Amino acid sequence: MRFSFGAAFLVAGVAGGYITGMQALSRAGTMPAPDGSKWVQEVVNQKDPYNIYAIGHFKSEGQVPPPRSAQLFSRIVDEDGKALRGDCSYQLSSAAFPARWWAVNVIALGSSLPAVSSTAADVVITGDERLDINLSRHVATGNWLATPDASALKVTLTLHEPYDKNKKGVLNLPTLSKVSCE
Amino acid sequence: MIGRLFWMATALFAGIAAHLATVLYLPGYAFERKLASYSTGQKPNSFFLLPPESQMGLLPTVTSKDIVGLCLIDLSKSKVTVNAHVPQSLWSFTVYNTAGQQVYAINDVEAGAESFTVELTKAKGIIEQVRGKQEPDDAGKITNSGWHAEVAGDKALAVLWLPVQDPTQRKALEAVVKATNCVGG
Repeated sequence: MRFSFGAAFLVAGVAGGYITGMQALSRAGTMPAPDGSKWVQEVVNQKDPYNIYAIGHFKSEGQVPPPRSAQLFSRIVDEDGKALRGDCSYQLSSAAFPARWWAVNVIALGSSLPAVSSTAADVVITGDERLDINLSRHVATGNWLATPDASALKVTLTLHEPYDKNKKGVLNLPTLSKVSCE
Repeated sequence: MIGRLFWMATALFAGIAAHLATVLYLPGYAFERKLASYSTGQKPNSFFLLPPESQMGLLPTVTSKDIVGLCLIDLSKSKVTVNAHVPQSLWSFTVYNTAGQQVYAINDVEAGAESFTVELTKAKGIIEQVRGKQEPDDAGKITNSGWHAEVAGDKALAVLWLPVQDPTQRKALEAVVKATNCVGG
């Protein structure tokens, strides 16, 4: 009886340590976007003494952390706070991104479907320096990014070598609004 | 009562150990497994291009439209020299140590040339620095006009990334980048 009590405590301790470790890894490496939008920034602060958690966040997914020359943002909800779905169409709207290069990726969560991407070379920016991309699995007019046929989506935005924010003001990330659902 | 306290303390330490093992060991294991799957058949200190469909799995900031080249650096025997060849366009070259920390980076603006050289050497340990032992120092032997970086540990990962602005130019860009090599010794 005493052995069972001790073993149960040990198992609970190990399980608790594992679960808290996995939770810490999943939460680390992300912070709210600087503009207060629904984007989160995925970043490793090299000066943070606890950045082993943030680095572990990326490595646990088999990835290297974003280089310092790039800013990586991601989101899994639209402007209304609802989860992004593959059977819905969305519009990503923004001023032209203040970076030398950028890329928007749409990733199918919980699926092996390949991610789809739209980069600075793929889109047409309007005369007033506005950028609109239609995210939909059906053909759309204008800049169109065909989304994967998956139940849940994640959208990432990478800014490679963003211009000096002090000159450009606070970085305003794009909105991602639902257009329609099937 | 004392028995329960003993087991509670033991469980607490076991939990801390499990937490640390999860945070310190599992990410590295997952990363090494994925890297090994992407670099099957590639020798250390050799440069190769990742297949487009694999790029996003390893690098969260790239797309399958980009070109990504890797070199698995092995500093256990000697320094390694990376002779990179790049087109006249945006690109970046980054070196990560085994802990996943970025230890070196350079881009097209900083390099300002279509080829550049980076010598990577193993950083001296604290004990070696304190002892001041006069061992052969690779950093003192640099004879070219390239860059130099020290890496903690025996291994590192060098990543060369460039976006493809015109898909019709992809083959030509790949041909340029493929001339890159990593040489030990």
